[in-house]
Amino acid sequence: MVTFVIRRVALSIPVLLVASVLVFLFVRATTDPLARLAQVNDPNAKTRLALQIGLQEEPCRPVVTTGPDGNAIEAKTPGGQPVLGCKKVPVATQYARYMGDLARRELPASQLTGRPVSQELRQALGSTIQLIFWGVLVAAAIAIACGVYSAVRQYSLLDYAFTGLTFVALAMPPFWFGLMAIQFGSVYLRDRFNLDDPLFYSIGIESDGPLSYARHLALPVATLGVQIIASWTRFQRSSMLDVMNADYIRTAKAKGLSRAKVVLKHGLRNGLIPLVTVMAIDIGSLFGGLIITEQIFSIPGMGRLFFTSLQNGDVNVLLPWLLLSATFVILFNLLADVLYGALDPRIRVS
Amino acid sequence: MTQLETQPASIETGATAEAAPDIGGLAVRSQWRLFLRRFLRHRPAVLALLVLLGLYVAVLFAKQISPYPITPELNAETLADSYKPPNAKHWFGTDENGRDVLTRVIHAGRVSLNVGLFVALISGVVGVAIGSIAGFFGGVLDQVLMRTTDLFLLVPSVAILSMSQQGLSTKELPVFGRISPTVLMILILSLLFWMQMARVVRGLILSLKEKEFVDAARASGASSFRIITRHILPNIIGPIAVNITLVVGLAIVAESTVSFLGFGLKPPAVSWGTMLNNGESTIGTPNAYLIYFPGLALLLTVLCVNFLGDGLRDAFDPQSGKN
Amino acid sequence: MAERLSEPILSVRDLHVSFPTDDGAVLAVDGVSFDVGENEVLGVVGESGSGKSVTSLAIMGLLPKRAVVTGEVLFRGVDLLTLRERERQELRGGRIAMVFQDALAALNPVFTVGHQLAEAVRAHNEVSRQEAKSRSVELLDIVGIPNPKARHDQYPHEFSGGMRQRAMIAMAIANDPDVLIADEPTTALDVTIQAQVLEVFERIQERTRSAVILITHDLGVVAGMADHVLVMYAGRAVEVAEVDDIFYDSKHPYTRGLLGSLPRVDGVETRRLVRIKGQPPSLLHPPPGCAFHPRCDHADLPGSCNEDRPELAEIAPGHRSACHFAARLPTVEAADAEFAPLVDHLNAGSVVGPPSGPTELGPVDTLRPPGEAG
Repeated sequence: MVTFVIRRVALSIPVLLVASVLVFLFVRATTDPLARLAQVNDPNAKTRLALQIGLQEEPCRPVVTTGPDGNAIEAKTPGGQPVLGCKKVPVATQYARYMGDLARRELPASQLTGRPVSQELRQALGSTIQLIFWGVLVAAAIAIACGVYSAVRQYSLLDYAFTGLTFVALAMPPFWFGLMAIQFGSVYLRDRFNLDDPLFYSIGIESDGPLSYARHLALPVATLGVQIIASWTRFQRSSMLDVMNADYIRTAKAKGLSRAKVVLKHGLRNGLIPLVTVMAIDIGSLFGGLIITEQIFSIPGMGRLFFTSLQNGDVNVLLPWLLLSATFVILFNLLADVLYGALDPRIRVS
Repeated sequence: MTQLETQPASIETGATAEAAPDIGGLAVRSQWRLFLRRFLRHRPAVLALLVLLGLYVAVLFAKQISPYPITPELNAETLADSYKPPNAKHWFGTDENGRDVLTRVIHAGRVSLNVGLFVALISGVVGVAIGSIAGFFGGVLDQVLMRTTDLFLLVPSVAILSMSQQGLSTKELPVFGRISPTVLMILILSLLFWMQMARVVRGLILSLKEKEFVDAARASGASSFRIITRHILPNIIGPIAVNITLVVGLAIVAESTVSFLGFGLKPPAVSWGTMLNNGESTIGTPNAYLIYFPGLALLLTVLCVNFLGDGLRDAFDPQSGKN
Repeated sequence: MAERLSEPILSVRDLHVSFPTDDGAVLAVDGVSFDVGENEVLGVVGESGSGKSVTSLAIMGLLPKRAVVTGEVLFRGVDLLTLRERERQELRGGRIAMVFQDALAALNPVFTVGHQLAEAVRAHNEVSRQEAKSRSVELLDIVGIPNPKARHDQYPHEFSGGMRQRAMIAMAIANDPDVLIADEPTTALDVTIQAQVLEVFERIQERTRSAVILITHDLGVVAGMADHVLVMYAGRAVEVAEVDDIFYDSKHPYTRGLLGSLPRVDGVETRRLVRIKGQPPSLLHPPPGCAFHPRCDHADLPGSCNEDRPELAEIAPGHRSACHFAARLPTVEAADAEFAPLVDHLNAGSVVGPPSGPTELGPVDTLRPPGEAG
């Protein structure tokens, strides 16, 4: 088991490296770090920024030529930007230096707030992890309960109801669900019952006390949960159906075990194995995947950080943000493999 | 044992599965009829198909069908009409500029549906081509495909899409030059979605290429291209069709999500996503009806697409729907 | 053994099992009746789809809910079909136990073999975990698993095929059942392992004196073990007789067909002698008249065979056959003169190949003599 884990960790390091190269290239290709200074009049601002994020080797001035009348003229590109008088750094070198900075934990600070990106990311992670924790807890509980019920009472009225609901939920655009959740869960309920405060808040997760915390989290958790609950329920139902048709379930019944023991011990212990691995993989992608939820509910997490950074062209945050998200995905994929091995004795040995 | 005794219907399907490799006209035609019969039995899917066709015709003739012009002149008369809740004149109400929401939903549907359709087609063709080659020939290409698709899963697609859309829609691109946000959206979404299809096709081809009828075709001197296009692909048309259908829904939601965030299409382009972006500020006001209709249109469309996919899957492979 | 030695423990009367489907009801078992008494072995033989497994599951009460079951399953005079689920659960694994085929699938992969055995013990006895464990180690020992203490804590996938099947048997006899149903207990095994498992089975049966229903498609297995044989075809009993009558004096063309296709076991290689032509019939649309007529060499077509369904009728004491021509069939000796030596061979109890053949279990794992066990 230990060697298995070590081998898997070793295997994911090159993946992470390749991913970082691609992410770096992608960010350089899609974003112009200097674009947000387009409106700034200070001619040195761009140079300073270019230096800071390693696009240029050394401070350099705009190229100045002498005009026919002997006066100095700043050379401009066709786009009207000043031509810089020094060589640009090749992308490969930029990448290498960036990774060096990353290793030394000296990444350039956020262009928007001026704070270190590590601080920005850590703070954002705090909110996101709370969302993920509660979201996954609720989603897993609902999905397992509904999935098991649907499988055990296949073709019952509730099974049809759950199946129909998962169908609608999977077709539901999460952002629209979030908007409707605010409109009805927060505003409408408040107005309808003449409450001073909404029953469920729609902004942030700052709270005083557990009840207030729950009232803040309810709608965001529902929004992020709607699709994962549906897909996990569906998954759990079909995995449980497979299991309940297995020979060993018949054996368990033939032993004279109670129905509850057959379903919850022999069935669920097997039927959970695939779900747990899928859950691990899905959780990994939630760290960077809550852009919609956090944006709609103004929760200062990873998703909202991405949104504001992209809106303000804050490359210094976007780049490490993408790297961090990818790292979480890889980490949780790893976890999924390990869990699978831990839960299924057949894998454990080999 | 019990399975055999309780599912005699599988005998029928077993027989067609055996006949499938023979793509002589008769087998294909009877298989097609069988498929059609099973599809028609799936009521929700048939209904979904009808609704989708209706929607598509409606948006194709958006100009003719819409009760009002999409961009009416901004004058005192239209402005006086602003923020009218749904009424007999404006079924879905009007927005802040007095524009008819129903008209805008129809026109927006044109963009959303076209994005979905084109993305599904482009990513479908690319995915099938690359998946076939990777699955059939294996080797380095296959490895590259699998690793690349793994890598794409590492970064949230909304992030990729937002950044590409934000960064590239104002840039001169190497080959394409400057392209419209809608076309860019279609290209980027296709780039994101072809991989799923490629993986599916690859997997299917891996299992099919060892079959006798492929050996037979090879022995009779058929080229690889011919084997793939004439012998293998007809046998996996089912999963391909299902996948293409589902991509339509995924693409529509992805487009509207990014446009809602403000990184996708921008006014004056109008899609369900931009309408919701525009309407977000009305939440909690009496004008919140602005967020109902584009969202409902979105939900209805994706729901229909998913039902259609479900029906196709059942019709192509009756065993899959058993659970 | 023409006369029954004891009162039957289990009597099945006119059992019908049907499954509703979209295209109509599938009649999987159609009016089957039989008795099994203490220390008796009834062999139930037929191709897959003949309804033999469904019959056993009906007795166990393990059919899916949608199955429609009618008739009577009398256990010591009580009709099981009228019992509540709770009461049936008490009997299952306690008084009536079952050994399934394919032990790898029938054992839960995520629990140790010992845990699953102890579970069977604890399901019917108020015993501590510790007591249940020592009982399950004992059970493993009884079925001839070497080093049972260590094996107790292993998972099914760590067992060999033969050991898994023995563990299945151990689980079934955990509570000394009165009725033991074995559904193709040796089908998934190599020929040599088959013989060892059957030997365990026989030994166990001597100990417990259970009534045994041995379900198999393999007449060779029946020959060595069964007292009576019930041959099923398309959900119906087509021939019932003592085992010798089945082998030497079969009165049904289908049974004869089965005998003809009995794999000859000369060493490792098996081969078919004669194949019954055609496919087993569809249970959804069974052929009119005798269900076997499309495949029967003796059928009178068109005529009684595809018009009247033959009923199971006594043609000799203790020998019943459902064939219009039962009385007129040529004698077995005449039909398969070459078959007799094989039957002798089988009756001698040596279904096994030459002892020099490689065994899966290795020398440590060979069976102990019956006296030493337990």
